Amino acid sequence: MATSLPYTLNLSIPFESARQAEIACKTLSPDPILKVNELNVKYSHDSNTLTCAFSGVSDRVIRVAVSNVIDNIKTIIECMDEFDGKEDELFQ
Amino acid sequence: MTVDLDQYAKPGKGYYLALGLEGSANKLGVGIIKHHLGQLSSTNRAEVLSNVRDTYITPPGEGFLPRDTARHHRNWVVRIIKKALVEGNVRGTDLDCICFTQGPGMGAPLQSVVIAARTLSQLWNLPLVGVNHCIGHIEMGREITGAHNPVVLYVSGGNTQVIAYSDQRYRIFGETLDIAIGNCLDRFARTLMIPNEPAPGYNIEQMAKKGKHLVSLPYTVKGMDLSMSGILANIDQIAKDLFGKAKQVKNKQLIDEETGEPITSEDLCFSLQEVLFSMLVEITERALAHVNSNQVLIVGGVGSNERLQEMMKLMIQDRKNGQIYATDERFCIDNGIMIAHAGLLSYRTGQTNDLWNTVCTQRFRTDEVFIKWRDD
Amino acid sequence: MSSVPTATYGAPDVSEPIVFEPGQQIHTTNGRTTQISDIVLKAGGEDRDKPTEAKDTALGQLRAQLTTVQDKVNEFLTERMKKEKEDKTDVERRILDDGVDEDDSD
Repeated sequence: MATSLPYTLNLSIPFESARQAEIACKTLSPDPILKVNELNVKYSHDSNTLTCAFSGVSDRVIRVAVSNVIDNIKTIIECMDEFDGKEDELFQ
Repeated sequence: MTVDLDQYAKPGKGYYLALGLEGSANKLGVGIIKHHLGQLSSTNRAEVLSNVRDTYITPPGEGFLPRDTARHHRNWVVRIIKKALVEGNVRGTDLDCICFTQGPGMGAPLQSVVIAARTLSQLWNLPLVGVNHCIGHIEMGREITGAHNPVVLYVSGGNTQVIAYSDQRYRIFGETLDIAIGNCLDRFARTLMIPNEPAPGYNIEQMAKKGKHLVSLPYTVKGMDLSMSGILANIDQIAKDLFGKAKQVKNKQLIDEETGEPITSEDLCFSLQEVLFSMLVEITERALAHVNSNQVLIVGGVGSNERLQEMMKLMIQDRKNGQIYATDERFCIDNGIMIAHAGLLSYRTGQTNDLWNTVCTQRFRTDEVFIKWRDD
Repeated sequence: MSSVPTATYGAPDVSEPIVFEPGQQIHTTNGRTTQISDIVLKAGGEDRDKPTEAKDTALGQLRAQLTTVQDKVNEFLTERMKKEKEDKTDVERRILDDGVDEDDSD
């Protein structure tokens, strides 16, 4: 049964392109949510924006999940910053 | 008959290149390996193009927490990937696939690395290959040493297994029932407040070289398996009695019965190694008899321990044509190249993971993996 | 659509959604709430694992701004959790104090 998840947080991240937003969305999506009765996360992308919608039973649950997802997004951004469009390059 | 390893080669290209990412514990490793077309053999060896590693270092007396280890990996992973590409002099377009450790290991560190693998795979349009960490050690050990069909002793900070190949699986003959050997050594190192760098038990090994008195400890082989937590509790207590800093306790003194000399922390390191390694030798010897083999391959971070290699050698020398194989710290200690190598073998038999199938798992048994690239 | 990363928070006791934006300050990738554990520092360890600095690119800027948003959200939620705990302790104390009174009357 779906329990009430009254605490919500929506993250909105503007990338440089729709392709980057889609890649970020696909990178985050596979990992399962561990406690489905305590937390729900939905990833989506529209144009160049990635949206992560969290709903949870408490502030604590939201804090842990959001900070972890932001950490992952920062890795994704750094990866793109360093490697996007550079598959033909020899790095120095 | 042998398995065809070349049906997935890019047209007109005489080799394969794979990038491998490892981060299941406190080492972050990225490597690039090259396989020329055809079967791997003594005249067609895999080539290591780069093998870069960065370790999350904790202060002496502290274990590595998942949170800080994951933080280390995510803050270094892009730099280390770049460094591996630079060292290997490789472009993204030269690569065939990106391999990553899917487990077993610590959840948060594994997850922080697969995020980078997934992103890069989509940016450069390269397939992903999930690799079992233990299979990485085994295949890299076989490749480096040329051991064809050995009994494998896999000893590291997180694993202790005796493994033998049969019928396209690496089967576990014996294993630890509680803690891993490297964990046992590291935890005792923490008790003595000595650092755990660079490999599990390395500093215990250095101290053990100066030890000479054997302190009596439990010996806990149980069938083909072994148990180490009781031994650790036992020696921890001895160490605390001898060297503990609690003010109200007057430290005891322990005297070696034969020489009358006091027992030192070096003696404790020596004794711990002797009992643990004797147990490993015993179950390895039994596995050899069972599968009728005379080759032993030691892999994993504890595998670089010279005393372990020496004790294993003494056992194997008694067997006809007995051979022991071990690798040095570049390949023993967790690294990205072994993930690239095992992942590339998998890729060459058509095995890749789509994105939805790249979730990492803390538990991932060695014998779950179908070894499609061997058919002996 | 916004050109900066944002976070929007809602809860039963919050009437209007609260929006977190990077703001006008200088943004860095070295977030206050994503430092190494205190346990490590107290044990004499040093932090050699700081994030790379943001490059002078749009993505570099995005990563730094997102770090600021992360700090703001983490600090806001930590504060709320602390307050909730204090309120709860107050309630518990009142109930317990009542209990003590009853014991005294025995």
